Amino acid sequence: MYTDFMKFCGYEDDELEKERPRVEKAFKILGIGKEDMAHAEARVKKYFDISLDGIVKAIRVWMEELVTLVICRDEFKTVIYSDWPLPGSMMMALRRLSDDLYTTSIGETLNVTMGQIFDKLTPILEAGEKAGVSAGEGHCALWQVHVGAIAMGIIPKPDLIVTPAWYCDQASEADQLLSEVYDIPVAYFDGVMDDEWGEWPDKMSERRLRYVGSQLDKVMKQMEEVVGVPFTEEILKAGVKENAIFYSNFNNLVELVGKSDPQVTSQANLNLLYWMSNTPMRKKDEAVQAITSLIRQLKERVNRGEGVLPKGAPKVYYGIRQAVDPSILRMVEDAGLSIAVCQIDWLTPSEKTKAKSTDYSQKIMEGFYKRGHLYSCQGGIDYFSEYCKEWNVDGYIMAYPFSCRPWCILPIMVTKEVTEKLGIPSLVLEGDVYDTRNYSAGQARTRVETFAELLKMRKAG
Amino acid sequence: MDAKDKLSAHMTERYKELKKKREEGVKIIGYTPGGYMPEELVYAAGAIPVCLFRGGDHEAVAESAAYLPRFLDTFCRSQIGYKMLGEPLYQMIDLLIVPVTDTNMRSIADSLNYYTDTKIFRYGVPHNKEEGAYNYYLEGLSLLKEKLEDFTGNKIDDGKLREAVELGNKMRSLFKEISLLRKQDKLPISGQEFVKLSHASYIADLPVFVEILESLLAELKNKEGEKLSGPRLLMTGSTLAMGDYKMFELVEGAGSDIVVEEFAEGVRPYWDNVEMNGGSILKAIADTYFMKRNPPAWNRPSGERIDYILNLAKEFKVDGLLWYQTMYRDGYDLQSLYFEKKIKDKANLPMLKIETDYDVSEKGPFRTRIEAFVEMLNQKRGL
Repeated sequence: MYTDFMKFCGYEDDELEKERPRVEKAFKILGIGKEDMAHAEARVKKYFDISLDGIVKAIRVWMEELVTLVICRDEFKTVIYSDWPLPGSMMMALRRLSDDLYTTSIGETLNVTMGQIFDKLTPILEAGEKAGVSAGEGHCALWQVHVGAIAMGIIPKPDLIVTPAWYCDQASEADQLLSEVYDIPVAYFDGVMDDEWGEWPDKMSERRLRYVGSQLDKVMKQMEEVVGVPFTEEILKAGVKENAIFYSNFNNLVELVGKSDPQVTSQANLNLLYWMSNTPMRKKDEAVQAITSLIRQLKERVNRGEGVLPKGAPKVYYGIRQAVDPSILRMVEDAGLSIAVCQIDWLTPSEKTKAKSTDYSQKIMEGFYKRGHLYSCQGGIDYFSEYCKEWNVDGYIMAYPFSCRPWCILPIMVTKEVTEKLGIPSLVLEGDVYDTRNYSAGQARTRVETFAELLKMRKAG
Repeated sequence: MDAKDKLSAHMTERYKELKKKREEGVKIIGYTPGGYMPEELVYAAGAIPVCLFRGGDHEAVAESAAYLPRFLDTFCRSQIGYKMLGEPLYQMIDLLIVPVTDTNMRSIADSLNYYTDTKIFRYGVPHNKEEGAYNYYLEGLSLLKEKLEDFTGNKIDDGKLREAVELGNKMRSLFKEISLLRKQDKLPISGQEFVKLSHASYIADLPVFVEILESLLAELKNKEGEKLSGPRLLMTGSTLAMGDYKMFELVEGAGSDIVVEEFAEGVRPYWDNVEMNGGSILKAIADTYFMKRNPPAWNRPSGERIDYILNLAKEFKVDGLLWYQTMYRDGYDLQSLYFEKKIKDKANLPMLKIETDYDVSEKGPFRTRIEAFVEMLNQKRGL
């Protein structure tokens, strides 16, 4: 029953015997049956380009991550969970502490696999709602999944959850709920967002960096105590390096796709890779191979002049990527818009400037803060505007996650800036990156099509 | 003239007085509620602190829709609404101080920064009471002190600061004494009266207000209170804004009363004074305003808050809890589920959760729910 689907997902023939029992066990726990696999296969064929080896490799890496997550208690002594916006590099480094340790971003892993691939996220979201991350309260669906998966028992209870309290409140409140209700120990990575307007990017607060840097050190100690192995700066640096290699390759892919005209492949394909950037994947090296393979094949297509949209289609800056449903980006492209770049896919010139911090932990957080919206509201306005300028786009679609408290303040302000100061037409789409029950591609189609017509007319002069 | 009349007369004249002072060159320093902004520093800088915490009107919420998305906390959204609608106090301030506790509170500063020319100073309130967090808050107070000195042109010396702290302590002590009177079976002051007193303290002239509190305490001590026939309630939650008194009206209408309250914003913390033991006054202030402050929902982990509420419930002999939160206040909403369970398990106290978007249409359904809750508590009490 599983062999064909495993082959479809890129498992090699010589792996099948060894991997089948693991897959079978995990799928049983997840309630994935024959019909689900058939649905997933059709969905993947519809939205992703599986003629590209890199895409198949990426799917394989995600499937491996999902299976390991579900059965991790059988294979590892210690389990530590995290999720965005905890520094992915720190979590990548954590993996190096011990072969007996399993760590991943559970929300991101389930979103891509159970969402984008299997289209079976709704029961997990509903379980999260029943467990206390209530419906109708504007709660973040990433954390509904986080709580729901544990409440449903489809993933094991960990030994520790490291929670990012430095950016928003929902993450740590949801994890605190897990601690109170399910008795799971939680390490809080605290922070404060007390910028003065105008500080970003050149005058970022040193004392704020000192505080978050010290919090990073604190949670490293807490993880070290759970694992029983020292979490040194060298190990942290190795994790940073590993993540940087991934990100640098991904950046090259983003530039290749974004600058191609005609657009060489659908941005939906990059969805499978982008969400790896902050997830401590066990097969990160294979993820890098997936990107390099993708770049090679796409370059050949560019050289042949192939593309998925007409040459000269208006280029837009789109944000943010949808984590659980590839149909939304496809819908934008179907409307005739070429998506040059998505929010936070790419390193802006401000991000590439040399870090001022000398302390290593502070340096990591400075890297985060260079993404303006993670530092302040004013930073977000200027950072997103910088994207529009650098990519010289014809339009901006601000598809914002409605339930993200720090993010949802930005759309009105950013689009006002981009439209009034840069003269770039903008469209705000209220949406949800992690849940499409209320914000589907169909719901937004009419508005995007109208916007696309406007941009085409504008471009035609 | 009794104390209440004196207070009423003072508050009627207060806005005119503030306007006059401002015309005379005195700086009016606004601040957002939450209990993390020591007014003592503002007084010591020769300025006048006023808290901006109006709420309860849907008009301000509707006005805010042009500037902010609906998924931010109702109270915080209202603040830009009041500014844009021309609410007098909101136009009067020279500088707004925002202690940043959570994302919702931060949105007040961000929206006012972007859409208006309000001068704003922020400092962060970390979400735990570890040493590093305490130091961060203390540093924030130092920066605030510098900012106030720079803004007013007046040096804050220890003498002036001590004087302001002493007066602040006097007010807190009086509030505490008045509040403790509510432990009695016969209540000399209703929940609504107490909260309105607390609200007045955020706008009133401090020396005048302290005198009024002294008179009021003397009056209340001699007053034969009324025994409450219905259940005694503790009300807790995110924000109890100035102007938002519907919960009191509904509770009183159901024959019950709120005998003690604990809120993140809108009720002045009064249990602890600033203990000046000859060391740094700023440190003493941080000890009280940060370390001793009963932790709101965003302080993690939440054990201290739960214990604190349980203790209040026991001390004030309450029969049930009202959880009153503003809509989309994420931290409070996420805690409400297990909070209810803990309160039930540890003290067998029922809890009713009410959530407001400051809409007039809420009142009917709220009344039904409160009446049912009171009836259920009465049955539990054997009445």
